[in-house]
Amino acid sequence: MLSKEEKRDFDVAFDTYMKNPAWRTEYESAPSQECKDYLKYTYYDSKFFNPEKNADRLSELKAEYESKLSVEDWEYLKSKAGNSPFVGYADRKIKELQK
Amino acid sequence: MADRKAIKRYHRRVDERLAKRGKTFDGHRYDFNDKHDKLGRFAPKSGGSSGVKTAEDMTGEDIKVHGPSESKNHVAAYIKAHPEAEKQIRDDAKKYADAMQRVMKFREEHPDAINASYNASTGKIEDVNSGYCVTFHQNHKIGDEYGAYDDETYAMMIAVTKHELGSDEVYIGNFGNPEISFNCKDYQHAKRFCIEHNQHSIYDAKRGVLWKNPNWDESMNPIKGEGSNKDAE
Repeated sequence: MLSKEEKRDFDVAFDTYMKNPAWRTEYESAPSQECKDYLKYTYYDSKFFNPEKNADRLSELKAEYESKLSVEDWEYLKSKAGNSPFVGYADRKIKELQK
Repeated sequence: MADRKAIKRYHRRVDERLAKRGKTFDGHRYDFNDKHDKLGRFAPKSGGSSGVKTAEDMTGEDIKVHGPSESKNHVAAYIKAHPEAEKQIRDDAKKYADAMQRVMKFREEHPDAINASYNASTGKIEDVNSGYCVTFHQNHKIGDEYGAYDDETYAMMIAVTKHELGSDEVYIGNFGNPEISFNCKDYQHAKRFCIEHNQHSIYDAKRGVLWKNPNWDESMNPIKGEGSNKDAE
């Protein structure tokens, strides 16, 4: 669960990303609300974001959002990752869920 | 002049593909009649129809965005500024050109085993689970694996970028198409590089997260694969 301050930061970052049609398309085409929530978590790279300073909290939030994703969500995220090593990560998650 | 023609040809091809689907482009394009800022960067008129802003507007930092056509100039300028590193860079470029060839050959021989990261020095598959992965590679042309780069320029860009990023490891990511990737320890450094080279994202290998670049201009560096927004249109 996000604190009030965190929610405000995420919302500011989200508004910024939604001005870019590529991210807006990615977000709006997501197959579920859980997938949208996860994507919103990844739209957090603005000037106030630093994973070295709030690494633990980011990992905690990531685990929370990831735990709600379905195979279909992972397939969607994978399809939007281009040639990134994230494709391999998503493949592993899909296999875990299919077991 | 050649670059202008190439960009116009690229835009024309995108328009033709969209027209077949009964759609039109909804973003703001680089136009040589547009105004530029003091560093020569593209500055959309009133934010453009897409509302995408410049790197400076989005991040509060002063970051120049490089296109792939600037790679040769970038290599030459970097070597000129770091003459002490020239021999190392040229030796590395040769090594990485060989590694790239090995991966391409392996991919032809083992088409089912393509989703992996190869260490560019050893040619062996490695599980990358620390640092931040970023690249300079821009998919200038859909369907062309090396985009706007020739083999020599690509190898030199690898060697220069490794030096520039102080990257411990260089990988060849083979997730659909071979693409070079640099493992960078410092997030802020990786982030700056990501914006400079108009990249889609940074891969946070420790957490397994793609941190997205808010400034990414998809029209100039489309992602490949089934989920490409351009392919989906």
